[in-house]
Amino acid sequence: MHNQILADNKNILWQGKSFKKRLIRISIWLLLIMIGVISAMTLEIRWSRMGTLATALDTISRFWPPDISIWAEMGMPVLETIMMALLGTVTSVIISIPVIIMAARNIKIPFKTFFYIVGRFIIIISRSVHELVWALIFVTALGLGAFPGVLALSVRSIGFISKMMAESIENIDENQVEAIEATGANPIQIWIYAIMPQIIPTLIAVLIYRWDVNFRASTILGVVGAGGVGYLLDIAMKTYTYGRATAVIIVIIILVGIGELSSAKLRDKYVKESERG
Amino acid sequence: MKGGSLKLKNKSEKKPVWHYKDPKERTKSLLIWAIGFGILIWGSSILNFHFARLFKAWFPLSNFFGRLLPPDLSYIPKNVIWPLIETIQMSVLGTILGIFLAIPVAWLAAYNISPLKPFSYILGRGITVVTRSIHVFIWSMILVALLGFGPLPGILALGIYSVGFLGKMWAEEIENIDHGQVEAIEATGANRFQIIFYGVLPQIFPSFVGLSIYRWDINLRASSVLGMVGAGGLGYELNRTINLLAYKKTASVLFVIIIIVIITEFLSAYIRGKIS
Repeated sequence: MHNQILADNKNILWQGKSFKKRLIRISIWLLLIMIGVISAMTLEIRWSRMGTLATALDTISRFWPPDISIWAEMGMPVLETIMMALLGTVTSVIISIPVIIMAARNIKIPFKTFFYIVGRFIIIISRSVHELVWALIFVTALGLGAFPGVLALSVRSIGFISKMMAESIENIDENQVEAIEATGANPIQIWIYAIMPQIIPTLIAVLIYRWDVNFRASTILGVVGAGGVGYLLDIAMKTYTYGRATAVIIVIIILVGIGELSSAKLRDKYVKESERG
Repeated sequence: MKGGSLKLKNKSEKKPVWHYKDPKERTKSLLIWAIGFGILIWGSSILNFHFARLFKAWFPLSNFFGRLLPPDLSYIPKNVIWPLIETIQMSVLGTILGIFLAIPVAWLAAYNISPLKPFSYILGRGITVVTRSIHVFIWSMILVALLGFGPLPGILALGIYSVGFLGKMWAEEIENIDHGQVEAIEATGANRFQIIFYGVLPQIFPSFVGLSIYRWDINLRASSVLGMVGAGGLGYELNRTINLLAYKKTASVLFVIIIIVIITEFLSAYIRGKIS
């Protein structure tokens, strides 16, 4: 064929696209562009309600300067935010244990197929509902405060933690289990000496990652009434005291930055160390 | 060698492969555990979070979920379909906006092709850090305050928030390209843009598309709840039905959200699998 470059007589180094492939490629692009154009055209935006550029600029100007007097009353909400992320992650691990047992294929329990489906179902539901929706549900059922926030974070984290841990248990090295079994160990000893050492590195990595994610989430959970700095932000926005809102946002940025740095540091220290063995 | 360590030795390094913790290490790890537990207990007292309350929560929770079920599916065709379409539109347009905004940012933030270093590099990295550290909900709260209710602030919020992620990932992808191909194009006498077009772009194109689709997946999840702060889509309907105490309708909205999220997750995983 004319549109090929051959490395030697047999192996094709480079080949131009065939007509059919090109057609498929062009039609995929057309489809994508069409989805974009149709979305843009059918979107209902009421420009009349939006006000003019001048009003928008006026609103922007009211976000500055930040009213830092609010920082005096932020000590407790900041602490609450940090603790919500921490407790949410820890509680989630505890709740995840039965889900992991159900969802890992190689853990033998009675009625395995039934429990396997239940476990996978819990994982899917937990993962596909946003933490703010969980928070809204728990706030509606249990009232305002940090308690529903912790529950929302932990329920949302179950899916991720259980999925990763179940996969890690499915992929363990069976030889080590057999070796411990050969010494005459009972099932509990097998868990402690053969299975746990293999899955703990994954557990640490998952915990650090999930804590990072939960920390970000816990800064905004207050928007639906679940405690932390988000609550102050919500009040500031609703009372049109935008200077205070800016001050809260600054604190949130600093908090998220610290969280990201410390999780990166923890990951460097523990994850790599445990990977080395 | 002391009595504690087993005689498992790597031949190349003269370090034991495994050894018992010596007393110093043991006190250190005990101390870390103690501090960790201390923080947890302190935290739970601050948040008034204890197990008695967790058990007591069972009754109101089961009561609430009892009132959620069964979902009022007749609510879907009338009141959920349009918000659903709006949610999808918001996620698509937000992602497209994010892609267009992120391309120049990635160009600036990739050290090997960034023009006018180091100024432009710092600018590019700065943009990715700032847009990423303000949560998409905060962006949409600010934009709703500026532009009023509706899907437009949601789209802008999704676009701005996506810039950080896409710009950062693409920049890292560009920094890791095979430099030989760039040199080969350079040797033909190509100018700066030709080098980027023929030497850099073909190498990052698959990950460019993959990351965009991944971002669309994330944006759809976000746009299904952005309405809770007034930015259009399913979230608004969710908030409204809860405020009206019409929990069976809430359940039907939740049902639609779960279905659409599962479908997009499957779709994005499938397409990304096909590309790579």
